[in-house]
Amino acid sequence: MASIKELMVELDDETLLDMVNEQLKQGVLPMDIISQCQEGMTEIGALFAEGEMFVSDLMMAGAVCKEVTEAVKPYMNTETKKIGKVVMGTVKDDIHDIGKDIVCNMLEASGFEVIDVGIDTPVGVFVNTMKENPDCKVLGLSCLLASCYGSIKETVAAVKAVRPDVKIIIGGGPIDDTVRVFSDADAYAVAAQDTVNYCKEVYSV
Amino acid sequence: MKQNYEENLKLVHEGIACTNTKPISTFSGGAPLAQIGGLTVAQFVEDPVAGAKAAFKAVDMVQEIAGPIHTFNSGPGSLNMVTLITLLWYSKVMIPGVEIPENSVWQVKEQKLIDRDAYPKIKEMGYTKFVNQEILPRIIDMEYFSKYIKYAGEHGTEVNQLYLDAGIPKMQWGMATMIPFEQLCGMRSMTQFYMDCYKKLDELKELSDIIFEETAADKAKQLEAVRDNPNWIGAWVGGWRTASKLLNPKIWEALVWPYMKASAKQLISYGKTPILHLDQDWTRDIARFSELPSGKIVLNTDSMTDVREIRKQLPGYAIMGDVPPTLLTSGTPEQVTDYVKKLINDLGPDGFFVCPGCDCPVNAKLENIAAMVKATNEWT
Repeated sequence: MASIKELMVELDDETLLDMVNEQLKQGVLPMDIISQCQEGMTEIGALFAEGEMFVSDLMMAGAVCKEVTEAVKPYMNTETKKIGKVVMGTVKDDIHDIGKDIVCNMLEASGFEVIDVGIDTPVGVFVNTMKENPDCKVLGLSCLLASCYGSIKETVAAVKAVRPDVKIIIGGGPIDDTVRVFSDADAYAVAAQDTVNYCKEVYSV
Repeated sequence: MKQNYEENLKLVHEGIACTNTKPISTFSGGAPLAQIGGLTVAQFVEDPVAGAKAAFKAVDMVQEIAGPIHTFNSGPGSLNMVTLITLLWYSKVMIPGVEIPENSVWQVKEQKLIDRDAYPKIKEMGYTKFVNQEILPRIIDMEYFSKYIKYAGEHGTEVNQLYLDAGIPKMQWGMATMIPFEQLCGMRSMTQFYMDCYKKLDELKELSDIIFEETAADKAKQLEAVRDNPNWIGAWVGGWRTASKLLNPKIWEALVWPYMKASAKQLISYGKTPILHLDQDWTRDIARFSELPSGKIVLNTDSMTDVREIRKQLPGYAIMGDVPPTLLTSGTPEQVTDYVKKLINDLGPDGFFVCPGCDCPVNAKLENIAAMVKATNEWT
């Protein structure tokens, strides 16, 4: 019989949820189930990087992971300990949310607490959120429009002025190293898993 | 700079057939040129004729520095961009200067307009009737919509004359029959529709067949009307949320490729050129394009597909691209020049149209656009 991790990688949500419910009834610890899902997500991220899985698979995996989290919630006595906080948002004048949402799902599934500040986000919102969360070590900026590189640059400068310790990673369709250099961000992501890996690196996981 | 239209038209056809001997300088996008010509994006949208005139003023500026632009891929048209994009994806499009800042480019507001129960309803009502009654009034002000549809009809000839006067043929004259996936995804929202593709693949396949049959019949009438017009070179077969990198192969095989291929074949049957406008990364499925005839199609990539792999796998097929938007906005003219030279060396000159990836971004620098054109013209 396939494991939770394997079913996750196969994106077989119906069999997976049946198995999760069965295991919960048998007394398997919710955290063990979540942990297997996270292992599945890590493998999915790796398969995506190798070109063996695709964006739709990531989205489906994120949805399945959420369903599992909902299923185990009633069985959890305490809040799960998170790896750390990540603030995520799409920059000013850009209303795209799909890429950002995929990254948020992947981060949450990997054990991070995500503060999603939304789309078309003014610089001040990023600055205030970073000030209000001094324990947050990573800011992720999403951008799909080449016309919004200026927004990235302004956000990076403003956040670094108040939180020089924070690491800023940028990502989205047209983002590459040229934009990273232009905006003075610390890193750029080509795929969602790159952001997860970067956050793990920053939090020394 | 007034060029010889007929000479450039001949060059374009040689490029499509891969028999040209020099690289073809191509531009794509109206708004960046209109901005260089002195308009905001909002003004370009508000008054398409003024937008087109400003764009051609910028074309003159570029050509004075860099030599000729031989052809446009997509260029300014008489249909307002918000209306055009609304019809393309049946999604709400934010209007520059009204709903977003005046120099922001039009953007699709992602929202779920239909639930799964709309799928049987589309079958029952017919697709065109469904979108006209149930979708359009929810995503665009119908007065605004009617105004610009009427405007496009009244001013089409005036805008087309600008191309003839400049001696620059336009290759893309609209959209081919759409892949149903693109519009269903626009209505349902990307996240929801992608999930449906896993859960309801058979139902979506059946629905896609029905939609395609209906829309292809409408498109056939439009193509018949332009069959003998030599200026009407081709149309886009897109290529956005259906990219190989985005979709699981099973979904792509069922809901994308059969319709993309049929749409391209339909254009070819009328003597027109399918410009396969491929946003995002299509590298995985490049070989499939060999199912379409060489010398008859153009693969128009946006810098994310591996164009060298296309050249390797599909000799004899024209490629258009592949100058990255980031280079045009944030690079230097020297970087652009180096990039273009390398592209031509690796891919051309035969069957290669040097062009910004996708449409040129609105904030591309004039000096970078000029560097792209100049490097193309000076390539030896």
